[in-house]
Amino acid sequence: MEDTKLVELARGGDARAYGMLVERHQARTYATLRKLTGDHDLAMDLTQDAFVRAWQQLGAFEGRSAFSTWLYRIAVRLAYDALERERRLAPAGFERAAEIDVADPAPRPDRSVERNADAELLERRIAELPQLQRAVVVLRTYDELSYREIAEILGTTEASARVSYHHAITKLRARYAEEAKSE
Amino acid sequence: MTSERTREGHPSDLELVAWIDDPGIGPDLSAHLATCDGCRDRVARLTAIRGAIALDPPMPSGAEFAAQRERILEAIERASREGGGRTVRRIGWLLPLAAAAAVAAIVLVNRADPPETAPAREEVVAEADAAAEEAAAIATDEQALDAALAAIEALNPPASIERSAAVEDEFALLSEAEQSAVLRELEGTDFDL
Repeated sequence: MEDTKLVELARGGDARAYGMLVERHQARTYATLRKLTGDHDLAMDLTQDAFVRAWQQLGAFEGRSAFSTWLYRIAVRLAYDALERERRLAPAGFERAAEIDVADPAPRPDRSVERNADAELLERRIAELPQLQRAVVVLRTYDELSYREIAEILGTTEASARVSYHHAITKLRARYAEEAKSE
Repeated sequence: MTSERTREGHPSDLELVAWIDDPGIGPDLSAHLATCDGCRDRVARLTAIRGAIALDPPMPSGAEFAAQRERILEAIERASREGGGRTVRRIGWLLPLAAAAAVAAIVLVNRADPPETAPAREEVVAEADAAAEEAAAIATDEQALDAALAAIEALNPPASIERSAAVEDEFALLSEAEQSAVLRELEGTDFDL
């Protein structure tokens, strides 16, 4: 059954239909939130909150975008809010994401990203990016969304999303180059 | 996107990223790449970074997801039973948002002077956004780049953060007695945010 049909049933109060939507989008939503926060527990909490919030707001969903895009908008904003709260609570709050789940990488003989052995290090570097760049990088590269969809989700312009993405990738590449030089 | 080239005439990393991202609308670098081993190597490294970002993170087990689905369905069932009231956990950090809504209402009601006419926010954002974007495109050092991108980000905050920050500011301006009154009013309220 297509999402639009399930949404229609869920709007009529059919919790089973909504359960099917949850099952269909749960893993991807978690993965995106995990990429954004770098924290398993927080990503799980936010995934749950996003689906409950989406259920509560289904009446406002007009179907102009895909259900998944609308859900991502809710999920990403919840992540923004959660990370913003952490930043306010602790001066170095945003660095928390970089500290979680990832052990301090021991020096390795070769840090070439081509080997994909540096995925964890990359996760740390992504977590250090400014919030908008981080979200754009994840939504563009991991979720393979268009800039139009990203702009819609993040409440920004396509041009800003594009520029942020280009600069974020360039910055990540530069940091890898610096680390390679320092070893 | 900037068309700035390095001193030796090679495309910048930004140009290469734009080209990898969308060869159709990025700068036409095909001819240069056909003859430049160094730039092909840079393209390979930038592409590898994209590939690494695209990797799945460690995922929870199916049982964890199933348990979470149960919790979600229980929560929405409870919400439906209670007439749509919010049932999500961590109400502690939601309180400021709820307080924000209440304080905003109080401030609006008490405000004697009508707000001054100002350009529509969309216009201001669009103009500043364009300027910041241009600055980001031509920025060559890291500090200037971060400042430009921070400007873009500051102009496009998620609505809830913006609202929360604005109301917290308003809340801070209230007297202690007014703050206490607001908090008393909020006590025990089930906010549907």
